[in-house]
Amino acid sequence: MGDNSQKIKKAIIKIISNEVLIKEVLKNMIITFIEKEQFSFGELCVLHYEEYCGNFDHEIYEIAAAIELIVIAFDIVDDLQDQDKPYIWTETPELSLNAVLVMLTVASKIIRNSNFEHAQSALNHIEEYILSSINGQHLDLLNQCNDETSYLQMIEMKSASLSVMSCVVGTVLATGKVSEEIIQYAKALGIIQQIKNDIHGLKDWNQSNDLLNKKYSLPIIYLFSMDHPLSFQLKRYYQGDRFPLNTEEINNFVIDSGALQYALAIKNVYKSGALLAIENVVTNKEFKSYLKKIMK
Amino acid sequence: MIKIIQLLKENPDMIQLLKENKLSLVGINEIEKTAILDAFEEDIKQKSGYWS
Repeated sequence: MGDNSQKIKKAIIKIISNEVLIKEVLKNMIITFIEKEQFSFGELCVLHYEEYCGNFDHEIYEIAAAIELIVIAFDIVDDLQDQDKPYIWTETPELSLNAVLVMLTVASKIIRNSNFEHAQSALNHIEEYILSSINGQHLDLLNQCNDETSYLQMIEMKSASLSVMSCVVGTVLATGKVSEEIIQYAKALGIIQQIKNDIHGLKDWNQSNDLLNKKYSLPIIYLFSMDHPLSFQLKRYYQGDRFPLNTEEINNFVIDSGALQYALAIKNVYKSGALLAIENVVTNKEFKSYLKKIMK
Repeated sequence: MIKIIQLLKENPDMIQLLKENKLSLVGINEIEKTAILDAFEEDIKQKSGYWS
């Protein structure tokens, strides 16, 4: 499966390098941005295409490259908006935003110009899921999803839209259609990854910590629901009161309160539904095992 | 789900009873029950991974 990542990376480098309408300095910047990526979204696209196609067309790696360009572009925008992580693209945000515009334009061009019979249908799906993800990102930035239902709806839009897009595009290019089961497990995959990120978002007391940044996530929603002095203290902190937070005390509160178990339980509910959908729809043993592994 | 987790944290004995099917949680289906029990197991196993 790892071989696909290398092929997707090569496809991105080739596409960007051969694009005559982009200046060298922009090309170099984009190629630097993709250097350390895992290409797991593009890989999902390739694997879904491979699972359902009759004859494997290697042009799928260019489509997977387009998917990756979109996802990396969204990742860059997210990091620039959050201003919470020191990544290569946060060094010069104004230039990175320019690179993002190029990446999205090139991605659209790749799919529009592809020879796949169902390319237009794939592009329609991509536009649908891109807009859904942007809506989710907007809700996340507003930081108003402070209960379980609204938070899960938000991450379904923001994060799961991108995993669904990857799986749907691969399947649609292979068959022209997509089943509800595939959408279900692809959605769960995105939500599961986001919940894992939420748990890690409380681990370190640095500039990425969700509590310090007054962000909401499932474990934080749990902490806020508690009748506990530290819960009230955190609420005051979120409301803008200024006072020193005892991070060790709050760290122990996070661990002992059940906040982690709560987030993990919600994750497990999605995982359970996803595993059932995978069993029902995926026939290839290796592919099934891959999907189950990334659901963990 | 929040209230159930809080209840189990406050009454850890209930976790074992739940595992042995000696306890029923109103409003929680089998999938959610398994998800909750797995979460308590998973948390113990992965605590060092998440929080080390």
